[in-house]
Amino acid sequence: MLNFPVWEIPHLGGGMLIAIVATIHVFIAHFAIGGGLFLVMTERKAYKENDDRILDYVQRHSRFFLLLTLVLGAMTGVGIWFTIGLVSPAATSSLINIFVWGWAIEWVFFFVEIAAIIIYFYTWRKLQPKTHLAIGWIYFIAAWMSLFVINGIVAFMLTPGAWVETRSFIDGFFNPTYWPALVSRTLVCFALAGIYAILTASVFKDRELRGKMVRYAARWSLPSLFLLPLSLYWYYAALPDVAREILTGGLPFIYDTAVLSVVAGGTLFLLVLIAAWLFPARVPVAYSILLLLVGFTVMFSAERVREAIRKPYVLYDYMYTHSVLKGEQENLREEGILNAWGWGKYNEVTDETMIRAGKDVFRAQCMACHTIGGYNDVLKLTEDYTVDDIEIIVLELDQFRGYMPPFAGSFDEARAVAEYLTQIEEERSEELTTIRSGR
Amino acid sequence: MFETVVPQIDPIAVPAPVWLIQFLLMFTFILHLLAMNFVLGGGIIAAVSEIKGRRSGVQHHFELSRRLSKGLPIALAFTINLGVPPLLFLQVMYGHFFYTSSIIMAWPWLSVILFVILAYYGYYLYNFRFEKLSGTRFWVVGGSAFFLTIVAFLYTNNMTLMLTPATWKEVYVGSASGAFLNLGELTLVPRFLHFFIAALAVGGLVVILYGLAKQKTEPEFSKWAIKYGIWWFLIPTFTQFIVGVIFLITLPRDVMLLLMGGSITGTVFFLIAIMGAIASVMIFLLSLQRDEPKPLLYAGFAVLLVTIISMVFVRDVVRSGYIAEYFTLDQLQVEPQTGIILLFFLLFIGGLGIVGWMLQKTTQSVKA
Repeated sequence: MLNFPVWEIPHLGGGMLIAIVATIHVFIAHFAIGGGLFLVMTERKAYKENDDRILDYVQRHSRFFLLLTLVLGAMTGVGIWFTIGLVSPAATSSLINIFVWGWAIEWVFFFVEIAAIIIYFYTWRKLQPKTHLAIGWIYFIAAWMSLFVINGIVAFMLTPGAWVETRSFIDGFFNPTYWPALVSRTLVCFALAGIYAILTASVFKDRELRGKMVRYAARWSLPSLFLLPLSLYWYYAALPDVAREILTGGLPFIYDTAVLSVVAGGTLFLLVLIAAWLFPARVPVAYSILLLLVGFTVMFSAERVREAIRKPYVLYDYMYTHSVLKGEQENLREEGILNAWGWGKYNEVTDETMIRAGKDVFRAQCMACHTIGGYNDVLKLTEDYTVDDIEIIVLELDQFRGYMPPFAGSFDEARAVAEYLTQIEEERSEELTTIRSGR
Repeated sequence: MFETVVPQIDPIAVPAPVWLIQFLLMFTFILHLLAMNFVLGGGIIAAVSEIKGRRSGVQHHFELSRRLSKGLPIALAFTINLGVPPLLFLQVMYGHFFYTSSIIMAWPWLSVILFVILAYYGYYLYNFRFEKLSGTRFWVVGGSAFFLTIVAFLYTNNMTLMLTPATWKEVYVGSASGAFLNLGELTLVPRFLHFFIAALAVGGLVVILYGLAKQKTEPEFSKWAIKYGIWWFLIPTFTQFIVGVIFLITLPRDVMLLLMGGSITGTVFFLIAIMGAIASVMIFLLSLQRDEPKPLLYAGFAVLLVTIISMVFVRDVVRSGYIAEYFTLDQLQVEPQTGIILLFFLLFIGGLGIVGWMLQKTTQSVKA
C-alpha cells in the first residue's frame, strides 16, 4: 500500500471537504467554458444586429466573467488539486503518475485560455471585430479542450475500463464513461452559461433589453437542460454494476441525493422557462440568484453521487477507499496494517497498547470515509453493537456492506479498533450523562 | 523518538525519463519564479511608492504605482498558471515526500488557496478602482502583497518540511489534525528571507524595464524609474549577501559541503551564482553614473538571469542532498509514454504560437 499519513478533518471528513471545494470549482469552471461561447456568440449577435446596447452588455458581462473564472475558477481548480492530495494522497499520486502528460497537456490549454481571456478582456473596442471574435473563439476552444482532457482523468476514477489490464494511457483515458461524461458536462456548460447570463442581464435598467437578453440566455439553458437526462442515462448505462446498484437504492442516502439532483434539475428547467415565458423583462436579481442556487444544488448532488458510487474504490478495481490496492488485503491480514502503514504510535497490539493501536487502525483504515461525531459518524453505526459484534463486522466488512472495502488488517487489529470504538462510545455516553445530571 | 517513515514509491512507473521531468520542473520553475517575483516584489514596491509619493509629493511615484496596478493581476494569473507544472513534476518525482509534509501541515497549506484569492481580488480592486480608492490604495495593494508574503512563508514551510522526514512521525502521532508549521526548522527563516528579498530585487528590475520602455515617450519619468528601480535592486541585494550567508551556514553540514566541493554541479553553479550576483551589483552601480545606461542595464539583466538559473540548480542539489539517505531519483521506475510526450510538446509549441499570434495582433492595433 502507499502508506501516507491520513489527515483527520473533524466534523466534515475528507470526502465532504473534497465535495465542497470541487462543487464550487466545477460550478464556476463549467461556466468558464460555456460562458466563453456565450461571449463570442453574443458579441457576434451584437455586430450582426448592429446593436451597441448588446455589445455594451457583453463587455460588462465579460468583466464579471473574468473576475469570477480567472480568479475563483482558476484558484479553486488549484484548490481541488491541493485538497485531493491532502485527503487521498495515494490516489492522487497514482493519477499523476498515470496521467502526468494528460495534466501537462491540460496545463497548455489552461495557459492559452488565460492568455486569451486576458487579451479578449483588455482589447474590447480596440481590435477589429473579426480579430476580437477570433480571440474569443480561441478562448472557448482552449477552455473546452481543457475539459476534454480533465474529463478523461475524472471519468477514469470511476471506470478505468481496460486500463486495469493493459495499463495503457489511451485505454484509461478514453474509458467507458468518457464520452457520455463529456457530452453531459458540455451540456452543463451551456446550461450554466445561460443561467449566469440571466444574472448579469437582470441588473439592467433598460426593460426592453433585459427582456430580450433574458429570453436569449434562456435559449442557452433550456435545450441543454432538456437534453441532459438523455446523456445522463447514457452515462448510467456505462456504469459498473455495483455502482448502478448503489445508485438505484443500494445506499439509500445516495439514492436520495441522486433524486435530489434530478428534482433540482427539473425545477431549474421550469424556473428558467417560467421566467423567460412570463416575465423576461421583469426578472429580479433575487430570482436569478435563486436560479444559481438551484443550479448549485444540481451540481453538488450530482458530483456527490458520482463520488459515492465509486465505493468501495477510490480508483475503481485498482485502489480501495482506504488506499489499499486491490488484492493486497490478504497480505495485510498477515502482516498487519500498523506494520505496513508505519504511522501508528505502536506497531503491535498488546493489552497495554490496545486502545491507542485501535485509534491508529481507525486512522489508517476508516478515516478516509468516517468521522467520529461528524459526517458519516462511525459511532452512529456502531453504538448498538457489542465489542464482539463490531469485531466480527470489521473482519467481514465487505461481506456485510458491499460498498465498503475489505478490512486490511490482522485479527488483533480488528479487535483493537472494536475496543477503541466501544471505549469512545462509552466516554461519549458518560459525558452526555454528566451533562444531563448537571442540569 | 520514533523511527523515520517515508511512504513507499508509487508502484506505477513514471511515464517519462527522469531527466526530462527534471528539466521541465526546473525550466517552468524559473518562469514561475520570475512571474512570482513581479507579483510579490512589484506589489510591495507599489505599496511603498504610494507612501513615498504622498510624503514627497513626487508624482512619479503615483505614476509608477498606476502602471504596476495594471500589471499585477495579469502577472498573478501567470504566476498561478506557471506554478502548476513545477508542482506537477515535483509530485511525479518527490510525491512521497511532498504529500506527506503537506498532510502534516494540511490546514496552513490549504489556506494558501484562500490567501491567493484574497490577494488576487485585492490586486484587481487596486487596478479597476485605482482613482476612486485614492487614499486607501496603500492598504489595498499592501494588503494583497502581505497575503502573498504569507503564501511565500507557507511555501517555505512545506518545502523545508518535505526535506526533513525525521520530524514527521512524532508530529503526526501527536496530532493528525494537520495544523503544524515547521517553525523549529533552522533554515526556515533564512530560506524564506532569501526568496522574499530576491523578489524585491527582481521587482526592482521590473521597474527598470518600465523605465526603459518609456525612454522615448516620457524621458523624465523614464530616468526617474530607472534610478528608482536600480535602488530597489541594490538595497535588497546588499542585504541578500548577509541573509544568503546565514542560509548557507544553517544548512546541515553535509548539504552545505555539497556546494563547496562535495558535488561538482552544486559547486560550479553555486560559484556562478555568487559571482553573477556580485557582478550584477557592480554593473547596476556603474549604470547609475551613465547618461545612457541601457547597454549596461541589459548586461545586468543577462547576468542576473544566469544567476537565477544557477540558483535553481543549486536549490535542486540542496534538495537531493537533504533526502539522499532516504531516496535518490534512480530508484524511480520509468516507462516512457513516448507518443503522449510528443503530443505534449507539439501542443505546447502550438499553444505558444497561438499566444504569440494574439499578442502580435494586439500590439499591432495598439500601434495603429
